[in-house]
Amino acid sequence: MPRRQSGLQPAHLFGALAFLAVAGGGFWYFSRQKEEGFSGNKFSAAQYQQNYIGLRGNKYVVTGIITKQLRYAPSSARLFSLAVTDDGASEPIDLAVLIPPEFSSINIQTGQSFQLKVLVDKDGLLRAEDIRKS
Amino acid sequence: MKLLILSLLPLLSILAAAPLHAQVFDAGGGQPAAQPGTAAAAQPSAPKALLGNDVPFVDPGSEMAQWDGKMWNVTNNRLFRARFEKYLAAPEENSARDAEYRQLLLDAMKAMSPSRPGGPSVPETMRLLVKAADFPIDARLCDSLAQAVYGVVLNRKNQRLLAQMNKELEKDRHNQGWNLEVSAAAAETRQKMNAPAQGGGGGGGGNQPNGQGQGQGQNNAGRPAQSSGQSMESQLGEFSRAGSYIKKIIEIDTARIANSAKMTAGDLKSKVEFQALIVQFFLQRRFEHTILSCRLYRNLYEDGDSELKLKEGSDVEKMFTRTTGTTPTVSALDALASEFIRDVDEGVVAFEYLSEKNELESASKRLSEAFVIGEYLPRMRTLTRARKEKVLEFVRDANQLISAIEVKDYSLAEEVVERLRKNGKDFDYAKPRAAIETARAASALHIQNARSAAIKKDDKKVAEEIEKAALIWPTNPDLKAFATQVATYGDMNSRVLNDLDTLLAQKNFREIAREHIKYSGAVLGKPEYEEKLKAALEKVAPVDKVVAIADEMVKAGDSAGAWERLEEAAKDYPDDNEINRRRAELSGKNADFINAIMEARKHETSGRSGVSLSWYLRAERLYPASLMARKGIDRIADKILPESAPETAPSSFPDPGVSSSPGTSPGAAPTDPFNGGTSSPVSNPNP
Repeated sequence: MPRRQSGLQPAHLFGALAFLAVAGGGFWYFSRQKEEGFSGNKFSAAQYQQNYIGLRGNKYVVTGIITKQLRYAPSSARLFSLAVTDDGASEPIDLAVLIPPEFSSINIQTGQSFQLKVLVDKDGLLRAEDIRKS
Repeated sequence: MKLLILSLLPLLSILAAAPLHAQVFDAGGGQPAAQPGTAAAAQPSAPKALLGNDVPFVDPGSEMAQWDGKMWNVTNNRLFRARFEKYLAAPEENSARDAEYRQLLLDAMKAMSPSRPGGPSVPETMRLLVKAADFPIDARLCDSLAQAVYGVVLNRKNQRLLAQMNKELEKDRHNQGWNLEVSAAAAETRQKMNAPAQGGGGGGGGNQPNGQGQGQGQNNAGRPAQSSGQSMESQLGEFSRAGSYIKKIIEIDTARIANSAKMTAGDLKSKVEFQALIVQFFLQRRFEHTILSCRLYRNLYEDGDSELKLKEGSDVEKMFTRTTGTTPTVSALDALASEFIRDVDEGVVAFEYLSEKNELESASKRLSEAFVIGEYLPRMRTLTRARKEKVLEFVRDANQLISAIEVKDYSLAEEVVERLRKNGKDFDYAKPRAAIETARAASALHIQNARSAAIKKDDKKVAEEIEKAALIWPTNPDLKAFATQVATYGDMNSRVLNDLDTLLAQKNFREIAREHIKYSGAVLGKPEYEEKLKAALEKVAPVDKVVAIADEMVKAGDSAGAWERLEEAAKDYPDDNEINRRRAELSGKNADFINAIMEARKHETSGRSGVSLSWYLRAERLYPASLMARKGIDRIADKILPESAPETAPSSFPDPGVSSSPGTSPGAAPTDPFNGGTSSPVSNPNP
């Protein structure tokens, strides 16, 4: 039987390269997928709570976890509590989001993460204009 | 004799304490106890009088006299006490003039003595009486006696004149009688001379007695002889002469009888007047004058008739006759007067002896008894002031004790009793002490009853008991203290009620609850205040419960929940210190949660539902059991989606005692019941 060759072989190298490619590709893919969500300004929950006045009438993209369904109207409009954690924040901030009836086909359950495009109305209520699971 | 003296004593004491309305004993409650010098036991009923009510009666045991339906103590009356004190304070009458006066009276009595050489001498006595009358102590009584004697002399002179007149009248009568006889004889002779043949018709006049004076002679002398020789005119003339003689005789006899009657009446009147003077001296306790006047009487009226001419059926007459069994005489008065003098002397001797032994009660009694009888006697008048002073203070204290007990000043009475005990070895303090202690105990009992009634707020009973206590002992110091206490309590009560009014106006129910014991006592019996206090305490009770629950929650670690409870209660009681203090303490421990609630409320008030709801959600995240957050979320959610059904049923805090008003909305403002509204409930998140 021929003696095993010691040291790094081309197969090893090839395997490592392949692994890196896959990992990198996957990483890139999922990142790209995220980056490819709703476009728009990112919503700052902390800023909203401190001073929402400057946010009124604007549209933002907010991502958060549904914590509670607050109301369900016969018109299929739904009011949810969305826990949003700002970048760098240790605790989430709960926001009220009104999901209009046109999104009644989307299942929204407590604990699920969603990305929403919202409009801040005059009363500070976030009205969803688009929603997708994130 | 002793019985007579005793029966006469009240009369003498009456005169000793003139006018004749001595103190009548009041046998009502709280009677004065014994006082020295007299026995002061109350006599609720009159003793059976030995001699009946018409005659003064003395009960030697109690020294009470009864007369004319009234009773009094012989020496225990104001007038007597005043006179006795005056006597004790007066100096002795040992001056030269006093001695001279006494000597004059003594000499006057000696001048009337049967053993005097030459016998009693009325003129000498008169001379001495006139001299003695000039002394003030005599009060001109010797002069009155002298005048009475002079009156007797004048009466005697009058008697003599009347006797002389009667003699003259007797002579005249005799002459008239003789004239009548002669006239009759002459008529008879003429008749015989004129009618010799007839032989003695109608004569016999010479055999008739002369001295009859009754006109008997007229039968013979007045029947003229029927003579043919005597004319009618001469017969008539003879009748007329005879008639005039007879008339004169009658007149003379009448005059003589009248004069005799005058003499008898005058003599009797003179005696009566003199006897009246003697009795008067006797009753005035002027025994020396009595003796003198008796002796003068005996010498002036030597007929031996010394019976006193008292009005039959009069009280004095009855007193003498019923006591002695005989008609009183001048000699009896004489003897009585002497007896009284001796009695007074003995009394003074006894007084001197007892006062030396410091037995002042007995000494003062003996002296007062002697004073009643012999106020004017030399033995009493010459008693030295030094001796009298010894009992004067004692007697004054005794009189003060009587007055104190009469006016029911038992404090003063007690002081005086102690003084009397100290000064008088033989002072019987048992009776006054018993009276004082009895009154004290009875008054204290009524005051205690009044106190009990005051505690029960029974004002009527308080007034009744105080009145009874005051009737028994008006100057009781406890009574004054109680009255001050009631007045102070009344003032304090008013102040407490004012404080209550102030706190109610401030709605400081917590302070009212803290002092509720004080206010509870003050409002007793005042329904209006009782209602207010009750309402105030009812307001505080639920708050106390909330505070207690909050404290328990804090102990259990639920400080946020405790804060919520207190925050809710603070809506009704914004000024409650306990609530506010705890809120402040808990605010520090739950700052984030409280801040979230505050922010949520702020935005909710401003209509910023989205932001408000976000803050409520934050608060709920920080304190999941938060009812405030839950209710806030529901409110805002309902506002955002009014057509939607609520996810969770509203809950409330448990009612700490105040019932929920139906229809009260979660956001309804609480109202103050004291301003006419209804109270709002404090809801419980943990049903």
